[in-house]
Amino acid sequence: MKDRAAPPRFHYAWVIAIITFLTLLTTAGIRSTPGVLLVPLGEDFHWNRATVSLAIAINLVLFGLFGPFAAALMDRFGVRRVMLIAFGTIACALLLTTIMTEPWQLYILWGGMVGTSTGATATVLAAFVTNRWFVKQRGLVLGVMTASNATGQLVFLPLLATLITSFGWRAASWTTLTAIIILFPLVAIFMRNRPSDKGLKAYGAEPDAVEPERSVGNPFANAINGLLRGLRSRDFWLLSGSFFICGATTNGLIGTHLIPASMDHGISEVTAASLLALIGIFDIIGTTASGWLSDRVDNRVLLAWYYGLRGLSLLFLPYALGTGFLSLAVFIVFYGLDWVATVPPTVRLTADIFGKASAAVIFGWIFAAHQLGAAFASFGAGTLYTILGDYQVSFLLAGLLSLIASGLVIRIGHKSGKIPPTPKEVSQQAA
Amino acid sequence: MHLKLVLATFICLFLLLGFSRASVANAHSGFLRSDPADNSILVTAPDMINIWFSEPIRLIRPGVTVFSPSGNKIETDVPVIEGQKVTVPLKLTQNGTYRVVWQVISEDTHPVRGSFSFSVGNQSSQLSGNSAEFGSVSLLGLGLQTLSRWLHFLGYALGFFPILFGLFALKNRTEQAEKIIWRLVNSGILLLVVAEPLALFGQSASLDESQIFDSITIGDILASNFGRVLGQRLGAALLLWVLVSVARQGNTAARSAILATGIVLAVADGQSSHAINFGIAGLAINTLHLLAMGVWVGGLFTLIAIWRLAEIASQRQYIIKRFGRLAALAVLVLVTTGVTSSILQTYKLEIESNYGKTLILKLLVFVAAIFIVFAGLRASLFLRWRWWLVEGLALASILFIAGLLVSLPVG
Repeated sequence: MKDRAAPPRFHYAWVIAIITFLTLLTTAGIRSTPGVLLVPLGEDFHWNRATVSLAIAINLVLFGLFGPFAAALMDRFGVRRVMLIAFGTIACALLLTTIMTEPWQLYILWGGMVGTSTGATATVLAAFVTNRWFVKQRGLVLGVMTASNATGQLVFLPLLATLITSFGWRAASWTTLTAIIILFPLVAIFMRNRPSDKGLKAYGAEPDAVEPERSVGNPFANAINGLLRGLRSRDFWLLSGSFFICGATTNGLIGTHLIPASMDHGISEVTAASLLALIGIFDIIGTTASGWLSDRVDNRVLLAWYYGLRGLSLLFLPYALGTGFLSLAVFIVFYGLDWVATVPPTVRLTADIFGKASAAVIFGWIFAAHQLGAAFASFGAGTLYTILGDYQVSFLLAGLLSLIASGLVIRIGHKSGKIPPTPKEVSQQAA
Repeated sequence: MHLKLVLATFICLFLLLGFSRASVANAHSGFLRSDPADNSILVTAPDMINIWFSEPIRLIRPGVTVFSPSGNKIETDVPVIEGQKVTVPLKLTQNGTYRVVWQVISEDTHPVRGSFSFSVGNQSSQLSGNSAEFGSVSLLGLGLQTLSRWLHFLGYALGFFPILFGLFALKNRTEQAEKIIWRLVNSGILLLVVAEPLALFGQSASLDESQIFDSITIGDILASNFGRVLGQRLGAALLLWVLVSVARQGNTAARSAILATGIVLAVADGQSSHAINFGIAGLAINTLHLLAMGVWVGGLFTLIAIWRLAEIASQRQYIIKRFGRLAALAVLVLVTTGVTSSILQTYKLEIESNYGKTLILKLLVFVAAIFIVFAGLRASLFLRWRWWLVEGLALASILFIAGLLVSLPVG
């Protein structure tokens, strides 16, 4: 009789995906507020740029470094609990910012509390959830989720900017707080830790597939063990090395310095900011497409293409800035398309090489490398600019680094022999 | 298949776009004139110094330095650059002969340094005897630039063309032969990379030998057009490295990509060389010259490298026949483009000049290389390898002379 029962209308995994997407969207929105807060905070409290930037820097570093520990915590205590605690922490921090008076409070609230909590609800969360709940369409789902990063910024930034101009900077805190308050019950009610909690298997899993065991033991130790395991693996070095370069060439260099570089060449700040926003739009297309592709094509080839094109675009950028709008637009299109496109294949390769059970923690460390690269490039390009008065050398160096990354990723999985064939290769072999 | 072709064309165009330059000149930036003029005597002190160059320039720090009659450096305001003209506002108080030293880098990426003097009121005895310099190239700088171009040409030939040899002249490519080919390609990449820092030091040394490692000078050179070209040349070498990695994993499309990149690099190199006063025709001549060089030199070095392999011994006649054809075509292109290029340049060229003499030397060694080919073909099979070796040396010398040619000022 049971065989005759109608199949479920849709798999619960999609509910999980939607909730996670909304969470990532909100996190991205929260992470984009420093840009609009820099000036108002400085004006209101008479804090200089360096002071507020330090809080942002603490935030960035903790955001990256907390990732693997967050993944370990999710393994041990369940995703739902970790998300709810993170939301609670963010909410407290946002509430307290409305009554803060001293810089050290900004460092703790924004740098420490928001930094670590958003680290738990960002890319690492996306990787964790997709690995647990999806076998088929894994790449596509991850692609859409990573694209939410850009969507979040596009949705929140104009809204926040308008509210801040009308109501002052505290409006930003209240708005993001409201978003968290809406999310909280959604997650509490609908989120589940693993498919077996709902009596299901992962979407597209084989009927006899076994779920990874729930991990036991100290999450802190698990995270550190993950790092140690990674350090012994050549593929880990190749993955984190290339991802370090990814962070350096995206958030670190272009994200921070494209606007000032454009202004040096006579492009207005508004135009430059809209060019950056344009990157966000192409980013959504590119990352989703990349997710779709990573289900079908050898992920190392994909990464080699992304880093290669990115490198060539960067070598081209000094010309584009000098020759006018059309060339710059071409650069923006190329750059936007592979801005975050590197994430789905990197997550996929991590899972393929290290196994699903450890993938989230190890990807957490690889992502930490990404953030370190971003900090390195952001600071490095600024220093070079102070010495040389120009960004050209930074762009050229970044382009060469990106080409090196392209050569690095091709070498993944060769000594260890751990890359499984792509779905296309499997079907060809069967034929 | 269609998609790959479209993608490949697209990438090629993109590469061309990235590697092309807005405008190129063919001489070192010429000092045109200054105001105050050299050796002039003025009644009242000028409140600014203007210098005009033959092309738009960038200053290399310290830019324009003015020395007072007593020999001290004078504080000036920030120089203003408008295209080809530099204006330095300043206040002069003493009478006597002032000396102005300038260093700039021009569009065609050669840095130049020079000086002139002028007097206010009267000429001071100690400085008035100095003649002006209008931009010279130091010997160390020339040497380094020549070395760097030589390594670049060698690296180009070895990096891109052994693959062509393998595809065209070998009947079956054994594993040993493949390994040797890839080893040649990797050494080509290494040479391409090493050539660039040498070029950079060649530029800084050509300003003044003491400035060769000066970080400010090097920084300013890197921030100029030269830095862009250097970045792109390194980029091309890295791209080749990536493509080789992909090709060694069995991807055949990567081999075509390598050859395409070689063509694009030839176009880029062709733009930065001297005889492109003649637009597209000049560019085509230079590009074809480089490609033909690559085919001949790269092919010959590959032949030398694999000739003595046991499994190749049986193919030797076949290789000579096939590569012979390819090399003959290459030599034909080299002669045609070389002659055309020389004719186009004789309008400005004097045979007596350094450039002219070097050009003749290159021609002589080239003729010698052709003779060596025929001698080698007539030698018995056993001795041939030594003839190919001598041929290789002759070709390497031609490349060195070519490197010198590219580094010398024309005329």
